Parts: sequence; structure tokens; C-alpha cells
Amino acid sequence: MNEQIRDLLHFYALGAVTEEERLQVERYLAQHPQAQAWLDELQTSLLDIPQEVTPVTPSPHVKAQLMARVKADAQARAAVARRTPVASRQAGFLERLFAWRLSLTPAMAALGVAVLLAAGLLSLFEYGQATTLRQTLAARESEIMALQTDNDDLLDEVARLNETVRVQREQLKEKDVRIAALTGENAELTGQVTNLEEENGLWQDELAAVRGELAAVQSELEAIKPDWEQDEAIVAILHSSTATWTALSTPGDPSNQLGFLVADLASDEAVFIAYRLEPLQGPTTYQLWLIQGDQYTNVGQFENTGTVQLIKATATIGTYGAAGVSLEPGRTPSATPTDVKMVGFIS
Amino acid sequence: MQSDILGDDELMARIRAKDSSALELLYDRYAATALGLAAKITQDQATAEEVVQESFWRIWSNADSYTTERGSIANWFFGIVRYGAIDQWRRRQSRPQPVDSEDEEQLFRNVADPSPGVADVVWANLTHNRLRTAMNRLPREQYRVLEMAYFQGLTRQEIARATGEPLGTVHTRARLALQKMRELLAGQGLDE
Repeated sequence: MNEQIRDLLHFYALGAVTEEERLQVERYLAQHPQAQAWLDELQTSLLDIPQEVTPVTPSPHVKAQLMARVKADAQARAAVARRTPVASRQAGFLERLFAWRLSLTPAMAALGVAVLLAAGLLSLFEYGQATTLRQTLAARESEIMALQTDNDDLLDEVARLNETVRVQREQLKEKDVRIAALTGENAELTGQVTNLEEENGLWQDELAAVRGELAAVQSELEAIKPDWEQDEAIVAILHSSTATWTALSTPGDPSNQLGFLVADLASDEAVFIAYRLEPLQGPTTYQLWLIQGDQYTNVGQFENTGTVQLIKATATIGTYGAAGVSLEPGRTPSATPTDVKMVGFIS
Repeated sequence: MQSDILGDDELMARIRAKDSSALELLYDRYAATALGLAAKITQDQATAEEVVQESFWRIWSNADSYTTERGSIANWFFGIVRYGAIDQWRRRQSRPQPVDSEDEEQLFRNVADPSPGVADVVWANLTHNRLRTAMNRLPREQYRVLEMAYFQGLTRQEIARATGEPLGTVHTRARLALQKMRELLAGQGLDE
């Protein structure tokens, strides 16, 4: 029984509660027999309070009016159902008893009254002692009841706490299961990540190797690009339908062709082809020239007996009159031809 | 002197059988205490006498409604008187006005007449004196809460407002007063 209800019960016992509180208490009492017993014991202690007030004799008319109402009511009842056998027999007996009493002498009557008073006082004394014992017993029962009520409350509280613990344990178990599942998933994912990292490492290595190869190929490509571009240009010129082929022969002997100059005369590029030259002896080199009047323009050097070279001139090929090859001492280009080995006239 | 012979239970049985003389005996036995109680609550003798007469009329007309589970006949009857008086008092009051116990004795000049029965009077006086002694031993503040609740039927909230005390204080005083009353009456063999 909680403190709030106990406080309310004190005022309920005193009849000093609101209607709403009265209903609240009675609902509670209907569900808690211990509280009802406690209340009963509490009310017992209030029963004699009315007798604490000073008695006051009512005015005579109060009794007169009451008895008049009663008499009228009794007559009305008698008129309706004339049935009073028991009451009338009792009344007859009492009347005879009182008649007998009235027949006693005054001395005997006084003695009788004295005996009655003594007996009454003795009864009161014994009644008081019995009441004390009953009250002590009631107090003990009340304490036991209160303790039982407290005990019930505590047991209820323990039951609620046990239920709370049980629920929390269930929740903990569920969380443990979920944690175990997540831990397993985590381990599996970690393994997958490790594998992927390993694979990634391998792929990175392979990618690095490929990149290295690619870089080497690109480097090689860059290295051969000029030759390739030159070869492209050579092929384009050789396949050009507008190219002019100029035969280069030993000076003084046009029938001894040693090479060609293939060019689009409107461009500044041409292809020089040499073959059947004599092998070089010692530190010498062949030097290629474009000739315009007495002007010799060095456009390249080579050391093989045969070669195909792309020539880039500083002016349009068609502005030159001839092309030739000379044998020059040393490796350094000469400003003018030393020993002309082939020549041809550009037309 | 018949009330010295017949107990309340016997009188009640005869009242159920519509014996008006039994009601008259019961009236003689309890009317003075009932009027004292009603007058203390209503603070008006005429109203209190109406309450007493109506309460006895209810005993007469509703005697069958009494069972031993309701406690003793006297206490059942005083309960009827008390609630009737509180009801009347509430009808007349617009706001709670606690009784001043010191003025109470001045309200009535008609002190109980011992004529109805010697044993009744002896027992009533004995009970009254011991209860008065017990209640006088209560601290005044506790007695005041008990008096306002029991004799005026004020709710705990109304008592708090009338006394200007917090509700918790009113709770504590009521609890201590009832506890002490029980101990005092148990010590005098009257708590029955």
C-alpha cells in the first residue's frame, strides 16, 4: 500500500474525502483486501468518537413528534396487515414481568437495583479488560496486516524488477546474437577485403609493369617517330603522281646512273636515292648537295654505298638547277664539294 | 428502566417487529448523545434536533437494513446522525468555518438528563469522560484536524485551506491523531 493511498484512507475513514476520492478509494479497496482489513481496523478506533461529545437532552417535542410519526406508521401497517402475534406475545410477557416487579416491596426493589448496579459495574470492568485484550490483538493484527501489505508491495516490486531483468537479459541475448552475427560478417568481409587488397596489389604490380612497358613502347615510339615520319614522307613522295624523278650519274658519263632525286618541284622536300657508290676508304664521307648556279647547299651526309634520304631544302626544289653527291675528307661537312661522284640536272 | 434490562440487539429486533416502545427505549438511551453530536456538527440546536428525529425515524423505517457487519447498533446509529448533520451543515455553509471548542459548551444549556436509565448513564458518562480525556491528550493541531474532518466532514483539501497548512502537514496530523487515538483508547479499553 503506497503512502498516497494510506493518507487517503485516513480521511476516508473520517468520511472527509471528495466524491472522486471516495470512488478512487473504493476501487482500490475492491482490489486490495489487505487495505480493506487495515481500514476496518482504523475505523474501529473511530467508532466511539461520537460519545466524546457532551450529551444534550433534546426538547420534549422531538420525542413527541417522533413517536407520533411512529404511531401513525404502526397504525397504518396494522390496518394493512393485522398480523402481530409475536410482538403482541412479547409485549404481553413484558407487561406481566413489569407488573410482577411493581408488586415487590420498596426495600426489595432497592436491593434489586443495588444488585443490578453492582453486577453492571463488574461487567463493565471485565468488559473493559476484555476490550483491552481485543484491542491489543487488533493492534497486532493491524501491524501484521500492514507488514503483509508492505511485504506484498515489496514482492510486487521484486516481481516487477525480475521481469525487467528478464526482459533486459533477453534483449542482451538478442544483442549478443546480433553482435556474433555481425562479428562473423565482419570477419568474412575483412577476409574479402584482404583478398581484394592482395588482388589489388597484384593488379597494381601488373599495372605498373604494363605502364612500364607502355612507357618503354612510348619511348621507343618517340625514338622511332622521326624515322617513321620521315619514312612516311618518303613513301608519300615516292607515290606521288606529281613527283619528278631526276637521274643522278657519274659526271661525264650519264649512262652510269648511281641514284635519283624524286621531288615535287613545287615543294621544298625531295627523296634522294643512291646505290652502286663505292665503299668509303678511311675517314671520309659522302655529302649531298643542291646546286643553284654557283651556290652549293649542303643537305645531308651519308657513309653507305646506298641510301634513301628525305631532303628538306631551304627553298623550293624547282628553284635549284641540279643535285649531286661528293666524296669529302673527314667527317665534318664541307662548304663546297671536293670530289663530285654523281650529278643530275633538275628539269 | 427497561433500557437497563434489554440490550441494543434485543431492542433492534423488536423495532424490526415494529414495536414502538422499543424505539422509545432506544431514543431514551441515545438521543442525548446523538443530539450532542449533531449539535456539535451543525452548531444549531433546532437543526440538530431535526437531524436526531430524522435519524431515529430512519431506524424505525429502515431497521431491516441494519446488519451486524455494520458494527454495533450504537455506532451504526451515530454514523447516520453524523452524516445527516454534516449534510445539514454543508447545506447551510458557503465556506468552512471550524468549530471553536471553547465556545461549544456555551451553545447548549440542556445537559443530558440521567433519567432514561442508570446503567446507560453510567456507561455513557464513563465512555464520554474517557474519550474526552483521550482526545484532550492529543496535540491541539492534531485534534483540530480530527475535529474538522470528523465533526465537520471537511475534505483534506478544505482542511488545508481552512487552516492555511500544506496538504502534507494535514496528512501527517491526521495520521498521527488517529494513531494516538487508537493507542489511547486501547489503553483505556474503549476502542471497540
